[in-house]
Amino acid sequence: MYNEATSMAEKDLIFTVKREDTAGTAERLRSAGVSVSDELHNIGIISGSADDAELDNLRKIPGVLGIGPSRSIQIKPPDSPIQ
Amino acid sequence: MEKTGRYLIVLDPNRKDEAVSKISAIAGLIADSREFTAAPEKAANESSVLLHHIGVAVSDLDPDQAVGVRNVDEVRVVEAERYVYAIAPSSEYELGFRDGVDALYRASKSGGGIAALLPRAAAPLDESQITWGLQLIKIPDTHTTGEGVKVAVLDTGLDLQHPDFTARGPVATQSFVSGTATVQDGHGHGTHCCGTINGPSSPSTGPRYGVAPHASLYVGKVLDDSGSGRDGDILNGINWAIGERCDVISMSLGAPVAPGAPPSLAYEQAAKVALDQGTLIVAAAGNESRRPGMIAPVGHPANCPSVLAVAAVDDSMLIAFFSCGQVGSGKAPGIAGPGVQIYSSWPLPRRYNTISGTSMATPHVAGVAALLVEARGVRGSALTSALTSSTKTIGLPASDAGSGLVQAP
Repeated sequence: MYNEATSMAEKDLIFTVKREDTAGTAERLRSAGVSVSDELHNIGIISGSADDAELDNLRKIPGVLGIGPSRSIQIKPPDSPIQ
Repeated sequence: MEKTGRYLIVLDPNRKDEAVSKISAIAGLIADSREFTAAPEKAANESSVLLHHIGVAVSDLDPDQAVGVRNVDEVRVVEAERYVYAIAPSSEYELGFRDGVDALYRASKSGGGIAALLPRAAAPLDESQITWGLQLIKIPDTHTTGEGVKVAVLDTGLDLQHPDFTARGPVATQSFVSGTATVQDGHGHGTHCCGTINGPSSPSTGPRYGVAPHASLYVGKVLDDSGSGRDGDILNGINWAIGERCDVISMSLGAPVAPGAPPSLAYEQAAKVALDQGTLIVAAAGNESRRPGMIAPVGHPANCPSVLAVAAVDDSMLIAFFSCGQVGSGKAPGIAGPGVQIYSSWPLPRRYNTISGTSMATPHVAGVAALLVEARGVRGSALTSALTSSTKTIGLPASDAGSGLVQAP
């Protein structure tokens, strides 16, 4: 499914999905080429990675409510007076 | 209307310090009411007193000085203090204002009561038995301990060898950090937060520092030992805590956001589902403000509507200089907790540490939430209401401290 002419940019993503259909949506995302790393059934969240260029197509998959980047959170080092 | 000879100077609340130094240069030194809390009689000799908590100075000025003060950029209003007489029912507001100012001024002049009128303790709180934070949130007066209530702490983990936790350990632990099997805390932040929530009623040494010593502790490691975590891992931790039917999730973590940035859809869905299932998420508002000059917006994920965002105050119940607040139409913190110079547990060999941050205020609120679950059986959004409706009003704007300082039931 990948066009060799397209530069691949795999990106870590968080998919917000219809909670009642988390498993089904994860299946559809896999079929669309998403490498799913976690299905969080209690909260309707799927994390995974996919080609950046596919984002618009992935948004149209039934059950997908939104797609965002997986951000990093960094707290201060142990010796910092403010944490 | 008759003048009293004194002036009321209303200061820009964000630039009080600059205002005071400029006014002092024009009209002589202004005494800060906070300085009299240890020795109230000192105030009697001052011709100018700053009522710090309401941002108003009451001062004896000659007319030239009044003009000079009026020209100070950081001064909003200068007006001659007046005697106000009741002439009609509609003047009740003015009467109250006069009575309030008169009472504060008389108290400062007579040297007796300004400490009692202002929400600060008469002297620095004695921490030999119990931390100042626990004292101000009324832990010494509560009969609740968090018995039977499940609290999840999503952080860097816990020092499982800490003597204050070895006897009763956490009920459940789970690491969500890849390549890390245990929740052993190699940072310190998580152990500090767990301590504030769940430290014992009688620690191995030193004062009591734990809000809810009998709560059932669920430790989820979502930040690695360098303090770094990914959204996916943190959401995984939330999913776990909901599955474990935790009543409260405490998240002393976050990332700065730009003013006006929308909240995360993923965290909002998670927090909303959590509330619906009886799990309240409390999160640190963030430490990016540099008051009085700069107020930074409530960070991610505390800026989600369904997350209770926690601001930090100091032992004078003043907002911490670093505590994030409402910017523009962004979210305001919902509540405040003790967050400056907080003593709690720390990984061995150090054992205890005193640090500051909205990260330290958050577990105070999470701990009290556990006490409220025990006392009233409230969960989810009813628990949010119980927390924010039982606060102590401390004279801070809602944009900084929400409904005020959290209070134990």
